[in-house]
Amino acid sequence: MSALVLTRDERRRLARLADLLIPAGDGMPAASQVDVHDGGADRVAALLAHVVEPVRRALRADMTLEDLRRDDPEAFGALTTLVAAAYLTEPRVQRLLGYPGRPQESAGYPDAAESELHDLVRPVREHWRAVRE
Amino acid sequence: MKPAATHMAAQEVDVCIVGAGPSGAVAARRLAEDGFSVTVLERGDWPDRTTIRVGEPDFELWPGREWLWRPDDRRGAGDQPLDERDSDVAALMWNGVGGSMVLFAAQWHRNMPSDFTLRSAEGIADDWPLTYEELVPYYRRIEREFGVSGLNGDPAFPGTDYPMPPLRLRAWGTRVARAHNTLGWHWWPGSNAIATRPYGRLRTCTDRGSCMFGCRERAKSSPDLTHWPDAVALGVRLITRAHALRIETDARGRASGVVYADPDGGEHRQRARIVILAANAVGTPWLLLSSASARHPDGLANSSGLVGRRLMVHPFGAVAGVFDEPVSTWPSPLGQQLYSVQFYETDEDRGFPRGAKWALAASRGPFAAVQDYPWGQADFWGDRLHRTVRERIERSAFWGIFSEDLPDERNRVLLSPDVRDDRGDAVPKLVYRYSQETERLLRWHEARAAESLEAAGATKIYVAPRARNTGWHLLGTARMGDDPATSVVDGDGRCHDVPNLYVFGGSTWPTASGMNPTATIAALALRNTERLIAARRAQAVPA
Repeated sequence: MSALVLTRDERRRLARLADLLIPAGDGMPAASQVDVHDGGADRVAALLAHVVEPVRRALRADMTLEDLRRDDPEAFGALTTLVAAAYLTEPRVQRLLGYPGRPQESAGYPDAAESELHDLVRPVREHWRAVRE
Repeated sequence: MKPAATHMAAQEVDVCIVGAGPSGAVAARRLAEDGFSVTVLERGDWPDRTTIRVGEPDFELWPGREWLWRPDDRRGAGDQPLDERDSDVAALMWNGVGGSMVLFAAQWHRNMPSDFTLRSAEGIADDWPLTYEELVPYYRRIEREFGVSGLNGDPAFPGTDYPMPPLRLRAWGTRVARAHNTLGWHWWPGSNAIATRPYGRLRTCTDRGSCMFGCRERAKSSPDLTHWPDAVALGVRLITRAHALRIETDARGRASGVVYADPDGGEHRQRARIVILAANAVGTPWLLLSSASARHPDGLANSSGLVGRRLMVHPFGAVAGVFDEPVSTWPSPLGQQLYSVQFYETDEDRGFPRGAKWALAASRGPFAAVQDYPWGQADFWGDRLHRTVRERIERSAFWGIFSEDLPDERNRVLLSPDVRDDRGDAVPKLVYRYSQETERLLRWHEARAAESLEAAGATKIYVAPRARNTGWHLLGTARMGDDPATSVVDGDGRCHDVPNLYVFGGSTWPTASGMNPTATIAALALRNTERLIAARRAQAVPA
């Protein structure tokens, strides 16, 4: 398990950059409003060890996001992965997006659906016969 | 560091099989039904479905280490490192009871009749030493053994007899189906190894979409559910965490057994009258090459020099479309909604041989919506982010393009010269490069797939960049053929050089087709097992 050990200043910078990447709008909170820079980042870093070092580099660089993207694409990629992962796997964000996760749907495949399918595939059979035979 | 002693198993068995994936499972059960004594050596463990994380909010981010696709990422009991520095594609597999079906997307296809006759019909690559028609009865039986759902009657695949109706066609699938009817292009409801009704040990699919990270519902077919319980009940001895190291031969040049390591590194010898390798197109050549000896300095069964060569992987393309209204694609298995073989066959006007199968699949969840694959690296950060995520999870679907991959002897599996596993053995090294022909084929198909989605109402199209983690379909490293000078095994999977050594699985394929290979891998295993049973008294000694 990898830890994202950050200073208070680095956490503040992470919050600022995260809000530039994911600002509030369209009925959705900004990244920092759901703790992306804090618990969210730690949660992701524990799972995605490969982002930890490049994210630290991104936070220590005195660059705008545009400059970071151009000059250190690996660090930019790691930063956006960390922020997006922390934000988009947050249950409150998923609820606001209307994303239900992966619930079990009702089981069953009614026979009626098969007769509709046969109607839908009829042109396929006719076309295939015309072209291949 | 290798241990000094190798422990002899007490009993010689009729058949020792290496690998408990679909080929090994089909063969073991069938042999046991006919009274053969069978021992199976499997590197990994049984899948533990209690660790599947499908219900967690961060499932997209982390399905759990056991369910990752690359052996090097997973590092489970059965995972050997791979040297992939010289490969454009990473090999993906699951090493354990059930094999890679435990993680496959469950798209189920026979090869097309034309796939068996490329040399005689088109003058390219090679013919198979058997025909589609010969395999039809085995395909039918295998589709029942594994429990395949689909709509019978596709004129492209004559003779299907799926035992269950297809997955329900959703609004987004129907859109694309109607578009193809308008275009006059082939499509057909998806055939998948996913149960749509209770079927043997399989339960009905509940559309959670975790197929490629393990099916907690036990609706997706895999041999740990469909075959191994029966095989074990019939007396097959299945040894897990048994890492096969080499095949041994006797003074007459016949295989005499398999040496394997237990989890503590102790070596054991399982003697057998027949050995079957069913260890996929990476593990099988690795084992043959690792079995080199004074008598076989270039590896076992390798007088042709073709062991490990002609690796094929089905280069993969993807095109995503965003529709103008919500189509809710997330409640869906990762198996295919529908497929098209409209452009599967050769058309000389395109400038490249052969074609590809397309499979229409669901878009994924929110985190997947901001990944480079399949969406590319367009800048959607800032004010556009929320709108982008919403439209991708609510309104999109994508075509996956499985392309023909013609054999090239430069693409191969060999023993790594400088990477070793924990035991100190050379690991498999993959050498694989996309050809220019493949790139032309994929670009042409991507353009047609974009037309398909536009005809279905997509207002935005995204062509995915080439992705490295697409090497699921590992084929062709111990090819079959009639001529011992140009092939490793004959049409029954029997090694030309070692007549009681067989190879089952995708490694025997002379050409790759453009189809998901499990149906043909399993049908061949059933056919060749029954031919082995019929010929078991005729094992010859090489001159």
